[in-house]
Amino acid sequence: MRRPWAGFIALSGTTTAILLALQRFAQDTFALQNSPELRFFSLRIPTLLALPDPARGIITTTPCLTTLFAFLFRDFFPVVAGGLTVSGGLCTLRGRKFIASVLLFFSLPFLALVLSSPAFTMGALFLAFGFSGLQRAEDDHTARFLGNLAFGLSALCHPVGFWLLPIFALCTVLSVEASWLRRGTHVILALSPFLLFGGMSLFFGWVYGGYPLLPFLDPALSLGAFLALEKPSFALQPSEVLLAAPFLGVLLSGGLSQAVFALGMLGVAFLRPYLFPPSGVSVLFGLALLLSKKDRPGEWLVFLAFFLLGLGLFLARFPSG
Amino acid sequence: MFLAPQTTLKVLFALVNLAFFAQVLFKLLVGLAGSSRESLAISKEELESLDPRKLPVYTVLLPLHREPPEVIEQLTSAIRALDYPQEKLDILFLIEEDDPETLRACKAAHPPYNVRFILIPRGFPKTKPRACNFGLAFARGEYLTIYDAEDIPEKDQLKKAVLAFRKLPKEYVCLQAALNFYNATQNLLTRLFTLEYSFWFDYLLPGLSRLRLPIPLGGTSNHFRVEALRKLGGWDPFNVTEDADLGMRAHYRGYRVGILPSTTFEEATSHLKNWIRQRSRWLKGYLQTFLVHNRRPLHVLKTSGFRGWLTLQLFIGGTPLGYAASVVLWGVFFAWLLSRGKLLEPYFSGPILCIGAMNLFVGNFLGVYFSMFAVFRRNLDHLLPFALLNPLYWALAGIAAWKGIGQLLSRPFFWEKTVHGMFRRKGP
Repeated sequence: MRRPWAGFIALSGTTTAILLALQRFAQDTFALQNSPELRFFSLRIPTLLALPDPARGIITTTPCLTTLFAFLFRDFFPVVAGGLTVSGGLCTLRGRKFIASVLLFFSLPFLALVLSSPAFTMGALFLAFGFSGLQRAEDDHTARFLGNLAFGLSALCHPVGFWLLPIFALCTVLSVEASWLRRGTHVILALSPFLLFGGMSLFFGWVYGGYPLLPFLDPALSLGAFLALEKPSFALQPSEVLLAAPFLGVLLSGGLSQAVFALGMLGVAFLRPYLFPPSGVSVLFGLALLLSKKDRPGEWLVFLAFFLLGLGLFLARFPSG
Repeated sequence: MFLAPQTTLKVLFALVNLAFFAQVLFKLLVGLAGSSRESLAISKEELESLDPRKLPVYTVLLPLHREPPEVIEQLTSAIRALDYPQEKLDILFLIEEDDPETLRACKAAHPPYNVRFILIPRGFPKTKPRACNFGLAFARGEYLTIYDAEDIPEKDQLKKAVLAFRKLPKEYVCLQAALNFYNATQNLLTRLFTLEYSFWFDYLLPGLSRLRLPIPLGGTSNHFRVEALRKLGGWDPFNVTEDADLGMRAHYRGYRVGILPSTTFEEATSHLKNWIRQRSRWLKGYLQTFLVHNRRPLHVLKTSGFRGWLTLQLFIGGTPLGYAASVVLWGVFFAWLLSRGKLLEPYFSGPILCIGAMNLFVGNFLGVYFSMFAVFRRNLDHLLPFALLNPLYWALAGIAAWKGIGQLLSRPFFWEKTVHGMFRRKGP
């Protein structure tokens, strides 16, 4: 067996096993029952099961892909989402950035995020794919195509992508050096998948409910509307400071579009905090960085410096531990 | 079926939707493989360093049938413009015996001295591959290519082909150049045709080549090693998409088809009737190829492997059958839509509804999106919005598919001629 595949299987298998163990034995520790996202699905699934045709209920729920996963895997949905995220990330990395991926995928904030917010985690993976696609070479059509498609698929996973749409458009404009007309074409290509996949719910809402916006506005059908009713859950966790700082540092120093992405993400996190579960931002940063093209010279120095800064902030905030 | 019509229809819908889904996945994988950068790059320096004295004789087959004089004139100019030593060019005009008008027009155009006229004797079937087989018998070159009467290849295409053949291993017996149109913006039909061709030749065929799958060759601008082509037995004169059939046969023998980084510009049919005629012939030919090769499915599996077999089913058979089925499915979709899902509720529920929704949105979108990327890659940004009209274009292809199916039963070997010369090219 070739080494990258051995590493891939070992890492994704171990993460899935850890997630399974954590889900079974440490539910109270992570307060999974208080997760708004899990509560949404736990309310929605029995309703779907009671319908004469659950498929109809699934396609009129936003986001529909994660609802389908939740419907199929029930209690194991978080574990499956985590396994898919780790496998998807590692498939793209193909043996690169091994230490960074171990740091991210085995960190407590990541595991906690997966178990408490599986839909966000899946969405974060697709969003990270989308943003990393912009980091690839300008003429790499495969990366751009897949990145745009992945960003579009995030619309089927979690509502956070709707707020990141203008940031993605801006990053697209910044990622190419071409005439403004050509940049405009890039933006059309970048946003088309998201608009179409996002528009699916409008269509099915109209066909089955008679009102296109129903799957977006009804808290029983829309994860976004449901989360908006919840108390804002965004709060910079102590462990998150440590995890987010190095990724944020590298993103901020990695060129204009990466910096815009990181700052835009932080902006949305503060404007719409209910969409970002604890450690959501840091995991998204981590994924975006991991999936970007390659290590730049000096990247590790920035990584280390911001890691120390994060540690300092962490210790300063909690001097007594 | 008569005992349980509802169950039968349900199973049919499920099967058609699953087949569509499989085709969408197949095209996605092939398109992605084709979207990566060109593996066979030929630099300007390499072209300039070619010694004209060491270039091999190159045969160019030009099957001509009922071509208007202006098309012949354009053809003669395109031949003269080819950047290849004239003494090394062996050009064969293949003219049907019962087509004296074309022969007269060819003589009147005063083609260069290296052009030979081959009169194809009357016979059955009267098809392009039959004419090409005559041409192959008279070919003197080490390499051979085919152009249509209205084709304008890039000037250095033959030199590029020679360089590519020299670079590639012997198993590469054919190189397919990309085809595109010089009248892309003539009308809506030509715009949509350009979107389709850009995806087909810039994504799908390179993808098939990269994945080592059988390639249904395009009708023109395929360059062959003559020796290998003779070993393959030339073209099947009864097949109206002889190149698709040849691509399959080449794959059985372990030969490979590469993609030449060069484009031949053609005239897109701009009249609907003419387009339907051309498309129905292509789709009929794909069905012929599908049926002929499925006579011995185990042989296909043995010689071409599972992936080759899958290509035959999903790509060669799936293309005409998919278009034909799509017309019916669009009809079903609109009936479902108008009744807000009530009319066909028993047939579209559960997993079928999910797969159907996926096909409707993701499948159709991928088709549209790939063509958007394809014209974007060719810097034809102005065609981008027209990609949204692709479903209309596919509906037309569905009509052509049904015509092709009907003709396969009534006149299987009839070659429906595409009328050329409807667009006068402006400028050089």
